[in-house]
Amino acid sequence: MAAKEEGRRRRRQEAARPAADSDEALMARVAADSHSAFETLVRRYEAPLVTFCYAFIRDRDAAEDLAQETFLRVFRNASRYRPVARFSTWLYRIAANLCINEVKKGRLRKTLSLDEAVGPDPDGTKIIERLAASGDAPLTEAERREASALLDRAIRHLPDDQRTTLVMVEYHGMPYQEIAEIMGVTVSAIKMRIKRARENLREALKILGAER
Amino acid sequence: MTGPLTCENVHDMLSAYNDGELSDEEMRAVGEHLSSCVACGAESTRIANLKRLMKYWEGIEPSPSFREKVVERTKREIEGRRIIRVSKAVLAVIAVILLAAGAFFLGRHLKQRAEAESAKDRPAATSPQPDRRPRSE
Repeated sequence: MAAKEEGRRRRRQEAARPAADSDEALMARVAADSHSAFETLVRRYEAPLVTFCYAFIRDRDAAEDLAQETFLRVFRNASRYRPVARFSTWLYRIAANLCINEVKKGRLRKTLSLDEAVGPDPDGTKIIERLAASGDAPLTEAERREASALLDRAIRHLPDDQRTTLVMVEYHGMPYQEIAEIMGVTVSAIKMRIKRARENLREALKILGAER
Repeated sequence: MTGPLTCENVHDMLSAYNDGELSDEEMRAVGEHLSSCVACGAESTRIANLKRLMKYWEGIEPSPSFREKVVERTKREIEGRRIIRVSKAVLAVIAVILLAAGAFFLGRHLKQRAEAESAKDRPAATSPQPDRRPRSE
């Protein structure tokens, strides 16, 4: 859960962070060869960035390799970074370009079917119903793990553009405008993608037995 | 936005509505529609539940060695840059020395050649000339 909480907390913390500790201030220090500033940025973004790459690639090892390459490019190009855009937008745009190129090469393209993803013993529990019935009561640890594994299977099944958009909205908590900038598309396209992503996610969860 | 929204319009807007991504006017119009339409209200609740469920997706926790690998690679990069900077400085010094030496030897060579040429032009002035004046005794 640590990665997820870190990802969510990041956006709240960013607003509350003193100016000297902001991403942009750290980047200015990285440009002046401060390795400690770079390490702070890596610590801040490692989990969100690996998850971001995973949303494109659906392979944990490849996602780590691409996240590593992204950080290296950030380091190499630190002197070229101008804080006209948020640092995170710049970072994720670099990562998105790397991931899209990797997907184009076709080496990492996986064809998944829900049957394969579920395996021989699909869970069959109705997590969404339990969640709706539980009101604001949090899920137990076992239920949380079950929900996360189930969601992972369902998310992996979504088409590329819907999966990446859904992860950016739900995991990274990005506004549509920022996603549009990273992906180089319009906000209307993002609205359509997220709508379809949720429809398909629900279908996938139904097949997986999480929702009727 | 003109006129009241239809269920079809609202259906298309519900995802963005639940993300708070509509304009103020649209948010208000969709909210009003939901308060009087059971079907759209149920659909909106389903999206809200899906969003709540999504909060339980943990994403990917990087492996313990991830940060170490990134830091190691960038440190190597810094070291590489340092070596390049030092090499450039050394090369610059060598280039300056070579240029200075070249200028010195070229200068000396030109000077020697000039001296040799001027020496070649002066042989008559240096050899003794017979005195051809008539002697008056």
